[in-house]
Amino acid sequence: MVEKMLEFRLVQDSFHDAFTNMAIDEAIMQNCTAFGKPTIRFYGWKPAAISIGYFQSLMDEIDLKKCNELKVDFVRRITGGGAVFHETELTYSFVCSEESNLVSKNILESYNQICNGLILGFKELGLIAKFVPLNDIIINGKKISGNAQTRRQKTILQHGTILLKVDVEKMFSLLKVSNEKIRDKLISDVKQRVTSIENELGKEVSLQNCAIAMKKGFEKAFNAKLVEEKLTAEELKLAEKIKKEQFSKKEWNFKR
Amino acid sequence: MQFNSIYKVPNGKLLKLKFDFDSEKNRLVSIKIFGDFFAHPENSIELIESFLAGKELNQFFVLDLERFIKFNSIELFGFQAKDLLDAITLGLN
Repeated sequence: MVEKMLEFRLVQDSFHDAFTNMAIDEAIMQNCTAFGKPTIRFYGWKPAAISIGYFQSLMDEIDLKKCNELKVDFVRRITGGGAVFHETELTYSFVCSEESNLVSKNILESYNQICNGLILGFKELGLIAKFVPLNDIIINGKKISGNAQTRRQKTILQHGTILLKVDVEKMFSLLKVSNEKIRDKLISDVKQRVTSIENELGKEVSLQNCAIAMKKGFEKAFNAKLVEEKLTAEELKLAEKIKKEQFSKKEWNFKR
Repeated sequence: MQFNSIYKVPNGKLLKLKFDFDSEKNRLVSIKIFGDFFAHPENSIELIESFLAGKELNQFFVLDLERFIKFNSIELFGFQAKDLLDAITLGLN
C-alpha cells in the first residue's frame, strides 16, 4: 500500500505592514484546528518594521522618533525573543497542531526540527547552515536566521527571518543603545556576528528564489508536499479583527 | 527605592529588571522582568512577577522560585531562577 505523503498548505503571501503580518500569523494559528492541515506562510514587510519580543519594553528597545522619521513601523510580537529589524528578508511562519505529532512536545527539539526545514532550504541555495540552540541558524559562524515560537491552545506557531541582505547601520539607528558611547562598537560587533544570503553568496538572491529553496527545504525536512493555497475568507476576516483589536493598538504595543 | 538592572545571562539571553526594593526589610516590593528570553506560557512572567512581590532576598529565594516555576509548569529559555537573583543583586550593587 502506498502511503499518502503528508500535505501542508503553503501560503505564498506578499508584503504587508507589521500589524497585518502579525495578525495573519495569529489568525492562522487560531484557525489551525478547524483548517486541519499545517500551514507554512512566506511573507515580506512593507513598510520596513521592527518587531519586538513579547517580554521586551518597547520604550527601552526602539527609538520611536527615528522610526517615525524613517517611516519604519513597530509592533510587539506574541512570541518572545529580541528586537528584529524587518526589511530585506524572507519571513516564514510555521503553524501546526501539537496533537499532529509533527514536531516534538519538547520545545528545544521542536525548534531544531522546524529550523531543519530552513537548513535544508539554505542547502538548496548552496549554503551550509547550522542550528544553534535555542533559536538561531548560523552560516560560517554568523547568524542568518532568528526564530521564535509560541504554543497556545494546543497549536504551535513558529516564525522567523531569513536575511537576504542586512543594513546594520540602519538597524542600529532605530534601536536604543544603553550607552551611546559604545554604539559604534556594537555596530562593529553585530557586523561580525550577523550575515545575509547576499554576504555569503556574494550575490543577490530574490525573495521568490529564496522562497522556492525554503519550500523544498521544508518538504524534505517533513517528508511533505507543500501545496499552494490562499488564506481562507474566515482567516482574512479574523486577521482584520486581530489587527484592529490587538496589533495596531497602543495598549498592546506599549504593554510592557 | 527603585533599581534597574541589565544582566547578560552567561550562555543565555539578556535580562532587564526594574524593581522596587525595601532595603530595611531586604525585600522586593515589586519587580518587572524584561528581556529577549522565552517563557512558556507567555503569561508566566507576570505570574513570576506577582510571586516575587514581597519576597525576601534570603537563602531560600532561588529554591522558592524554582519550586514555583516547577509547580506552575513554566518553561524558561534564556535564564533560570538563579539568574534572576544575580540580576537583582547586580542592580542593588
